[in-house]
Amino acid sequence: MILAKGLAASGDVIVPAYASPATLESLRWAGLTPVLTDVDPESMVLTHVQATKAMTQRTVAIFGIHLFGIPCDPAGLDLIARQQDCALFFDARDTIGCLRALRPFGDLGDGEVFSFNETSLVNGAEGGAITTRDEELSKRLRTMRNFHRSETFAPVPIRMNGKMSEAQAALALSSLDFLSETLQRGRAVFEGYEAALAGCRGVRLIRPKGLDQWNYGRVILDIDPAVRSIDRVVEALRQRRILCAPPIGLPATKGTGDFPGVAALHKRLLELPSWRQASPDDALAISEVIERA
Amino acid sequence: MRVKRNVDSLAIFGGATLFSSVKGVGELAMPDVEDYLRMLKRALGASSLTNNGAYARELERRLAMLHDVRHCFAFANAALGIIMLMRIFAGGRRGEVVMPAFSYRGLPHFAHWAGQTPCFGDVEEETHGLDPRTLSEIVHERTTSILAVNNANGACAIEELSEEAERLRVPLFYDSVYGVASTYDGRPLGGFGRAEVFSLHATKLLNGFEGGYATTNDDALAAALRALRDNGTTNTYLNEMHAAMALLSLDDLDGLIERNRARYESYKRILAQIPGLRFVDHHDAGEKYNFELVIVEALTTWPLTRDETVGLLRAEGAAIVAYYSPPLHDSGNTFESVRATNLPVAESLAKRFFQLPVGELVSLSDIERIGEYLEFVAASGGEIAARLRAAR
Repeated sequence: MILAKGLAASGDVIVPAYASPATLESLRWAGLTPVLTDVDPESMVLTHVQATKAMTQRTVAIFGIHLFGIPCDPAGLDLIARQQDCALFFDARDTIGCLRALRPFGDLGDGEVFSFNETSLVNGAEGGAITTRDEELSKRLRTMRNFHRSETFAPVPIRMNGKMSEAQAALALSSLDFLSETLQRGRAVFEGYEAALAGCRGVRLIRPKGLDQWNYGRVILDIDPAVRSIDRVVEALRQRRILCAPPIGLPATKGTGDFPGVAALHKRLLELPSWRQASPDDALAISEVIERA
Repeated sequence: MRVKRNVDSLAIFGGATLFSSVKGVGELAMPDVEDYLRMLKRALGASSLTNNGAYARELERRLAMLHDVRHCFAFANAALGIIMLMRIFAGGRRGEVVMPAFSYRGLPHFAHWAGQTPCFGDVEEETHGLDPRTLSEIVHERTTSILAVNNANGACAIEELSEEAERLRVPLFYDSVYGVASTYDGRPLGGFGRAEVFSLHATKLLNGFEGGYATTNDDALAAALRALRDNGTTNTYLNEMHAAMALLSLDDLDGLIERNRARYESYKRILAQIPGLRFVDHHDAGEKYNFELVIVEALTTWPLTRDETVGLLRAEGAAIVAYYSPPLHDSGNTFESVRATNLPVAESLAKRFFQLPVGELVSLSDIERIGEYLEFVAASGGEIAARLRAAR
């Protein structure tokens, strides 16, 4: 919400409808009005095609999400953002350890947001970071995240207590030291699932396209409703005390009827236990339950 | 090192600093690091570092007891607690939040984050708190809540504010960040108004690195806070690393207050001897306090302005600030705000006070040296003022 506020005072922000309620709420807290759009059914992310359709005079920003590490059409969105003179920023939480065009994420658009929540590959218990190439924006953000007079680098529209503590930073640093091991563990678990589910009809593990290196951070199963029932899979797992849920829950209020791409994702996707909770052996066992469901 | 004996030796004129390490105004309570590491290992072992973990819940239980209230909710910081309460009271409306014009500079920002417009009221000369008499002018149908502040020198006029708020039918809540373990009318702060908010920042009495909490006896409000925090969409949880740290401060609460009191009484004694400065004592001697802060007034008889004095001390390594300056209606915020027509007390108070170094990193001998330093400034003030002003 601090990045959003630092970029635009008020107006509409185009955001994919496949986003957590927390993401949308953060945009509202920043005084922006989320304008939901569909995602590309093939790539599962917001692209310039959907963004162009949603663009109006009131649009001041586009907020893309690199879902599961899938790049959110950075080139296409950058082009239209510049053509329409609106801000472009990304949720890059799923991209730690990923490489695209042999580069890590973090320098796309006007800025990108990362999380150091305990579920993240870099764990600071809580906390996060914004990365940007924009020097002026950087000064505004450094000012906006606290109220210290000595930390005032630029005029800003508003300030907030958004600083990370030394405790969080210390934990995150130590987690960063272990990142390559964590990534290896993630890969071993994912490849365990992949091997075990190779012959299983109607399911497909999502491997992001467009990356030179992926972090295997999240294990997302795409279930074909024509072949398998996602509810039966969930129930079979639940009976073995393996609690799985869609990566993003169906929104309580608005339906996704207007967004067929998003509706399909809600119907088809299931998140399986990743490196945080599962070993490669667990992956094998879980895969067997799925196959039999 | 000897305290300054001539004007040239003042750090602001190029002399060596009075302090070899920075002396701040925060409590900076330090637990036993082994105790902390033990707690941290337990949390790491349980893979539970946030989301209303065991330490956060234990902290809430113990704080509820300390403040003698039914409910306590821990947050990532006090700002979020205040914003959440403003949102709940606003109930989806865009309105105004009344607050004192002489207070912490974050408050108007919190109102704005909550979708409200800050509305500044004047304060009382003695308590520095929101003046109950200001409310009838500035409270109207667009007012969604009143945020009064209980300052370090004592609670504001809680009884009168409650009566006014009730008469005007607007929710009243308190920022009591400097009031942990303090009392009003013999009762602990925490149970007054609809709710009170406290901080667990490292500079406050209870050090949780960062953090905050809200206390309330209002069951319906508690349910709303719980729903917002646990079922709502915004992540405001106090993480386990912070909760563990705060619990250790809580274990040493009496010790912290005792040591604060020793520093406080020391300053009080020393400043009584320095003409031109007034030690700001608690305005009601009958209540309990935590003695966290030391606030001093630069009287008209003091040879320097308040700001010149702050500059002098900062150059010496005392990380002090002017107290609640500038007043909030004049703090350069670009977002919308409204105010009472006249704010004479807030404007006057904002020019007069500064803080002196306190907290666990400030020793009694540091305080003696500050006293000698200020005595020197009192005696040579004329020369110092002349040199400062000539240089400008």
